[in-house]
Amino acid sequence: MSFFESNIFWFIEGLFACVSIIAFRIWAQDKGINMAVWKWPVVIVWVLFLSISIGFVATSIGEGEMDAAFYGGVFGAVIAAVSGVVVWRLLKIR
Amino acid sequence: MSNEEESSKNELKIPRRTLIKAAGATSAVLGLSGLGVSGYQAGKAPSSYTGCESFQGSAQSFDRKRFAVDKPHYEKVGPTSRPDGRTEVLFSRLGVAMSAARSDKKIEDLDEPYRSYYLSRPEDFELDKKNRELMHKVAEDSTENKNRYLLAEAWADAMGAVSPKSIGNKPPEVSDFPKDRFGNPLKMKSPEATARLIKKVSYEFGTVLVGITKLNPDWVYKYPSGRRGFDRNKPIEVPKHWQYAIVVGAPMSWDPMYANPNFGTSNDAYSKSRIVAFRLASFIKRLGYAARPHTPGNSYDVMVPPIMVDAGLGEQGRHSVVITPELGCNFRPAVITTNLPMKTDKPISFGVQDFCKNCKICAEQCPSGAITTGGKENIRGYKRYLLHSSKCFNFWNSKHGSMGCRICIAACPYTRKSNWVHKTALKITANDPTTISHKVLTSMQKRFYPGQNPSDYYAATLGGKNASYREPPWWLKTEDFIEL
Amino acid sequence: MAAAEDTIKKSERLLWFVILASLVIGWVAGLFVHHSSIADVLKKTLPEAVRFDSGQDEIYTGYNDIQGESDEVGYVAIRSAHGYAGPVTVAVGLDKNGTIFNALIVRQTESAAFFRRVVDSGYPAKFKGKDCTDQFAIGDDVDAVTGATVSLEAVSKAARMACSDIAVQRLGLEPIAKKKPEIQFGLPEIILILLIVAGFGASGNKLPAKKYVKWGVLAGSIVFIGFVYKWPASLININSLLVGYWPGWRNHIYWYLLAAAILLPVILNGKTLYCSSICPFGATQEILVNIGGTRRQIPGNCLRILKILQRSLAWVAVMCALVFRNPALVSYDVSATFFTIIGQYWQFVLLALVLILSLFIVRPWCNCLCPLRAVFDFIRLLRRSL
Repeated sequence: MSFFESNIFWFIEGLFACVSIIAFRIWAQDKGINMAVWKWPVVIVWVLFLSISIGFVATSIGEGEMDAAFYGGVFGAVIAAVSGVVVWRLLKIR
Repeated sequence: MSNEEESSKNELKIPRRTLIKAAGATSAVLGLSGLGVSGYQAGKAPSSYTGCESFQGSAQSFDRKRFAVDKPHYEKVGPTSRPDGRTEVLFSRLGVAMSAARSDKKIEDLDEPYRSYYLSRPEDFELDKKNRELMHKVAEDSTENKNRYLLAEAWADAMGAVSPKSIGNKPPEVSDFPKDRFGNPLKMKSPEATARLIKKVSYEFGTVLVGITKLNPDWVYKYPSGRRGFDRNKPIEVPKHWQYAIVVGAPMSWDPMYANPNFGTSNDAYSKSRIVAFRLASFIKRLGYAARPHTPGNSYDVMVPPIMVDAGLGEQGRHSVVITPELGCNFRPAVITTNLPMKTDKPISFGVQDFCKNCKICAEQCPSGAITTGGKENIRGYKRYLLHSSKCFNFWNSKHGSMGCRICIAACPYTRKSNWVHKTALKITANDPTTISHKVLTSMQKRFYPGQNPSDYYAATLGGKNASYREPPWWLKTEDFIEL
Repeated sequence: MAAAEDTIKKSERLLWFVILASLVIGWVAGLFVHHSSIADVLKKTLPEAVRFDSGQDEIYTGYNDIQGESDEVGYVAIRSAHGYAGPVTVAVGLDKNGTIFNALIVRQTESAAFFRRVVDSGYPAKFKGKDCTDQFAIGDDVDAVTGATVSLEAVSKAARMACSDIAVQRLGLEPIAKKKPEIQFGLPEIILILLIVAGFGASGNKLPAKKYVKWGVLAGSIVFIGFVYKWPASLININSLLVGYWPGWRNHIYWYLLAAAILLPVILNGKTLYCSSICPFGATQEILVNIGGTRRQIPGNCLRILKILQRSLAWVAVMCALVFRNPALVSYDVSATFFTIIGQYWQFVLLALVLILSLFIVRPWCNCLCPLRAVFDFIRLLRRSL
């Protein structure tokens, strides 16, 4: 699995991030959301939280610590869901 | 474009297109220069030294300069005294207790200094005598249970099969100094350069962490614990050439360490520490200076944990093991006392004292109750947490596998592998002065990385379940490789 | 029309009669269920003893017969104290010096995950080596166990009672000045009463400030009944009542207040006031659905199936409690898991599902799974038919 530890991997991740951001803006416009400046950090923080949760669960499984993966997954999922709904309602403002 | 749009565009201080073009140009420049720096580092990278990655010292990655303090964390609270290596080191007094158990002697019948020692601690006499009985009980466990550890014991014994010879029984004034044919002490250019050199060769010799400090004579045994050139019945006069102390060492292999107390061993780290210490002592002697290794396996004339704290390698935790930022408690050190002048390191403070005050996971997991949940006590003039060594050793004889328990080391939240998750946690606790993160992370540790029921660690014949902190790694699972 | 109503009334009457009968049968069956023998317990608590006498007041003397002479080796006492769901029975073995040789749990009916915490923290095994005159006070010579305080207090209290009884009756020691049984009435009880009164009061009236009082009570409930005291009402309370594990009122006023709050309004008025005004987990779901913004309905046929599931599960839980005399045997209440963050793996998964669903659906736990709601529905059925 050393591809996923390589520099190329992170470079490609960066490309994915750029494409996602551009596409997100267009999708938001279609949903009638005007992406004001303050809305971007809100979305980015939420995506970062989601990413860290996924990373934590995966790393824990890799370490062999199943309890950490389970609780990280459960707590992460609930917090991501609730905060995700909050973020959505914030995006819908104006 | 109509006039209105043009004028509104001219009203903006910086038009949007210009802004984007400027940002793009900056990114291009930064990106290309970044490649330059990254390329340079790739040339120097420790990972490119195939097979010798650790010789570059990259494992000692914590920024100790930022966390350096002037005084080590232990407080001097009274008149200090030095430990008696004949009685206060458990391995030295064990033989007396075990033979007393065999011949049914009472404390009053023992020779000094054991008589006085046990008279003030009669409970420890009973505990130390009990070890014989405990060993027999463990040996009575079923063959099926004992077979589970065949591979682990083979691996542990193999790790102990290679060991440097002892330093012999000549007095330190003779055995510490180089043989005549190597000449007089070479004149070293500066203590700073010498320290850099010694640290680099220590890495080349195989150490994972290294620190240098002046030797505090309070850490030297008052009476010797072994036969290393001293008269057992006379107090040790700290030799004048024991001026500096260099700490080196190695961690135990991680996966077996997490499977303590039954599948792990101290031998893998001990043998590496001994080899580094003896190589370093030989190197220093070649420079013409005195050097004496104090190595694990009970060949010490000094107490190592406070020397580690002085040398800035870590802080002493509740379980009396020194916690290092890179390896947690998973570090088995050796010390070289020498008169080679070197620049010393400063002690560090990275939040451990605050963390241990609240955490207590090691005390809760300790099967014998040897680790205190209370506060620090005055021990020989210094304040630290007391470890009840007789209780601890009782558990060493209540389990299978290679000698020693090491559950406290495995359970400590600082002893974690080096991935982004644990590195981040360490960064947070090291930089948080409010100790809020310490309490939060301790609760998370208890939930996310739980231990076992401490009674279960005992052997089955002693009421336990032969439990280990974690499952053994695939290569120590006897049942997968050997027909049982 | 009247005939149709009659049939409904008849089938309802049949239903509650069948359910009541099954509960009675369950209770009777519970009388015959066998519990583990004393002899094993005695041997484990004092292994040095070769035999025990038949005991007096549940204190047994252990003897070692050496060369025809009986030597008293020590004593074992078995005592119980009321925990969260029922009595926790502890056996303590003392040697002749009054030092505890071993302490074991004989029987307990606490919620599994909570009691496992107590055991995993080393209790009562850690009592080995203590003296019979020790305090057994949490925070003093007994380390606290987060979230399982009630169970741990029961273990400590039972051990203390066992020790002091042996000390007084067999070792001839002076009884520790027995304090008159205190009435435990402090801040938790006061806050609970305030919340109940405010919650019930605000539900009826048409006060202008009603909305604020209502939300204040719900928020207060989440904070205090939920997170601070970690003691919301659950089916376990009902099961304890039915099985007959009624704790001493002096030390458990909170417990009786809660039981009254859940049962009295339903029995007297048919209104589930606890659910709407006080229940902290219900309050949590209300907050979540307000965060979510939408209030979707569960489709009708789905709801019908879920209601049957809700009631059958509750019935199974109550029956198991009766038959095995164990109020916490079948416990799937995730509200305790939410406030204490202690539970079995599947409880966490279920809790996560409930919380996430609560964002879009009103009170999914209350309407589809909560066993208390099923009990209330049954009581309302009884009221309608009688």
